[in-house]
Amino acid sequence: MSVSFLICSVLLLPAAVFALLGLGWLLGWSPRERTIARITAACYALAGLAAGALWAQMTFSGAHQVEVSFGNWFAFGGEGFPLILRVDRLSMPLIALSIVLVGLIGVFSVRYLHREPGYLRFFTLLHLFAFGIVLLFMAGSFDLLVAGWELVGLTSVVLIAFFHERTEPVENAIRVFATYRACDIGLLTAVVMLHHFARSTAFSQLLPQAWPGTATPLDSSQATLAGFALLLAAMGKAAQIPFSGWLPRAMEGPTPSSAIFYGALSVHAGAYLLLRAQPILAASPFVSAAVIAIGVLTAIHGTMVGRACADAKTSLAYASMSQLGIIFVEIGFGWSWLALFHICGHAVVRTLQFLRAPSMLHDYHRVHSAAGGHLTDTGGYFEMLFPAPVRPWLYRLALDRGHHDTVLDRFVVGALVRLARRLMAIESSFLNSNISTPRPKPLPVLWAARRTREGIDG
Amino acid sequence: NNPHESAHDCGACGGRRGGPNARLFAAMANRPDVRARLAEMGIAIPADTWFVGGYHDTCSDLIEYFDDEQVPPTHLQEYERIVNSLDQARAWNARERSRRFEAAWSAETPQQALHHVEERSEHLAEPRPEYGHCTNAVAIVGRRSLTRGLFLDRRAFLISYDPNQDPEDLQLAQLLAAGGPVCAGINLEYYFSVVDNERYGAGTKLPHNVTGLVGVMNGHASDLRTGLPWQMVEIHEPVRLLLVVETTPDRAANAVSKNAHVTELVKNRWIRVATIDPESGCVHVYRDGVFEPFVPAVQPLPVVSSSAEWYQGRLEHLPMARVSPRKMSS
Repeated sequence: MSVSFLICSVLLLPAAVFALLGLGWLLGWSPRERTIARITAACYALAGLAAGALWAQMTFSGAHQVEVSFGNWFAFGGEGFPLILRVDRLSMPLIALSIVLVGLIGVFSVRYLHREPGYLRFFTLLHLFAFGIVLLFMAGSFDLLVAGWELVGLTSVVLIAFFHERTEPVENAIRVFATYRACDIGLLTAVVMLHHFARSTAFSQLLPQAWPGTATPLDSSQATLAGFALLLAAMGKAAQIPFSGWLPRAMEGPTPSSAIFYGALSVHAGAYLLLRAQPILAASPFVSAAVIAIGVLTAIHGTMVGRACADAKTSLAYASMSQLGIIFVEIGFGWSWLALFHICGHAVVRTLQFLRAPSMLHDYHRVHSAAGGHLTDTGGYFEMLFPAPVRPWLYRLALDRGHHDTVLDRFVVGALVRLARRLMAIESSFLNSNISTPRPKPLPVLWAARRTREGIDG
Repeated sequence: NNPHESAHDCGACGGRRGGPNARLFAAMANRPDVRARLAEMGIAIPADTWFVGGYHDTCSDLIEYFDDEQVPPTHLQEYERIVNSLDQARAWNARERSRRFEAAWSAETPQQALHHVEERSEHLAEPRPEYGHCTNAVAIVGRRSLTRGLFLDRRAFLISYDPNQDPEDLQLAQLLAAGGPVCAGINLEYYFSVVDNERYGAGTKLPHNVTGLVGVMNGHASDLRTGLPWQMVEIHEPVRLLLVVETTPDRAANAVSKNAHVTELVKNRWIRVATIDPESGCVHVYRDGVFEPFVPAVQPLPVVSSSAEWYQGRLEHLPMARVSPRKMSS
């Protein structure tokens, strides 16, 4: 089994199943649940075997990275969009983890979504997500990474709105989508800048050393600009403050999708981006400091708000957020291996916690009946750090989730909407002076009038 | 996997399990001084009776026996016989229940079905661990001989009552006061949750989020969802409970009138009541304030040699049948 065959099979198996289910759906095929379940199980079993074989080959051959190139999608003037897949010591564990976790979620969902009307839709989106996340981890250039990034964002949003017969999931999904898009501006800007600075975004050019290296052809100012843009993108995906309001809203989806996206994989895509771009961060002390600061603030925010959460999934979301803050701190300090281990461990634990969240009451009842009563309250050490008069203030702050959403709504989104309205007013006043507003055509009256006239005439 | 724990918990016990009650009762009833006092009150328990408390988990069909190491050696053989017989019964019960589960298509023998329901009760992803009281339709208060051999498809509450030992209708009044509101409540919660699951029920379980460790809400923020989730009620048939009492219409009316709650349930037609005369077997149905005689359509019940013959491979509601093991197909 050649390495490139294994790489392609890990990437393309979920894509093939997505294409099969998606095209079939378009053509009117409504497969039974058992068929979908079997196809899913087969896909991830095979992909898991391929990933395992790939890892084994890479370990035994001692290669630190493997690249597979498919030429350019398009190229002009010496620059192009290279289609390169790279598997190295950063992406291999993450790819293997993705395949295993998505397979696990698939098995969970086969039972959990039994007899649910959106069964086919869920699995189609799950496969598209798997393709997207593997593409994201396997991309050998920032250009291709954008493709995976967008797919992951799109599928997570559509799965949040899974229960589209209610308004809240759809509203929250649109909010999440808006946050993702706003932060993706950073990623696109970074890609354009990197093309401008380094003529290429391929990792072999930009990050010549095998991971974790620190060499990059960019100088300090270029790295600062590109680094901040990448940081913006990573902040949106990894729910760092102030863009963290979307994470609890993402719990509108069914439990397995919450688990896979916000516990395990999608949120870590932001951390992966920064890990991959580590040389660029290292070249710019400003960006590294910013990463550390944002990580610390997010960790504190996550733990504080998490203590005021009344429900299971939101408190898990904030726990996830604090861990991501800590991961950002580790990345900022340049402790790459630590960050990678942290990501993998966190993904596994959080997935388990999300999958067990529906059984939480049952678990508590079992513990209480075994212990003979409610457990005594322990801890509260974080709260004791603050003097008593300050605590109600902090509690109110935590309850409103740090006011981030309110501030963003009023001053960012609100400002944009006001600007848009002002421009619209200007435009319509300009248009009104030249063109009269169109009156609604009284079509039936004209038609009737014409008929009577015809009747009269002939 | 059951975010809305209280939906599955016992309404009569306030969400608790009955195991400790059985254990305590057995412990009390085994004491000689307690038996002596009971004999003074007129309840004579024979000296060679031994009580063992047990607990039947209706989800995994597990039967637990408490304090069975205290069973005296004279009774050990009987006890073993009972345990074996209950083991067989729970496997057959699992098989009969499993006919309703689409996922149990491979569980053909009783042992396979038992394995399937055990797995179901522990499976992290299973939103339908058991169907519980789903499909309930009838509550029968009377002697067991009335319904022995009748295939009721798990749709009946059975309450033991002997009209011949209750001349004053005191026991009947007590049974109706305890069992009437409970059975009616269970029936009505399934009724309303299936009729309008979004408004009276809790919707589908998938977006449920345990809130405050007391209840569930949908997703990120919503009202607390009360009622039963869709996964619990989807196979329920929305009919009001039919309470069948083995007594005469006058005595039934007398017993009902002794309790205000039961009177309200019957008068306002939340449940329907019928009586079967213990002597003649005539049926009267309560309609518009009076008990009218009921003339059933003359249609003999199908007779099968085992319940498996009747339910094998069928997922839907089944009509009643008479199970007569001694009948051999001729």
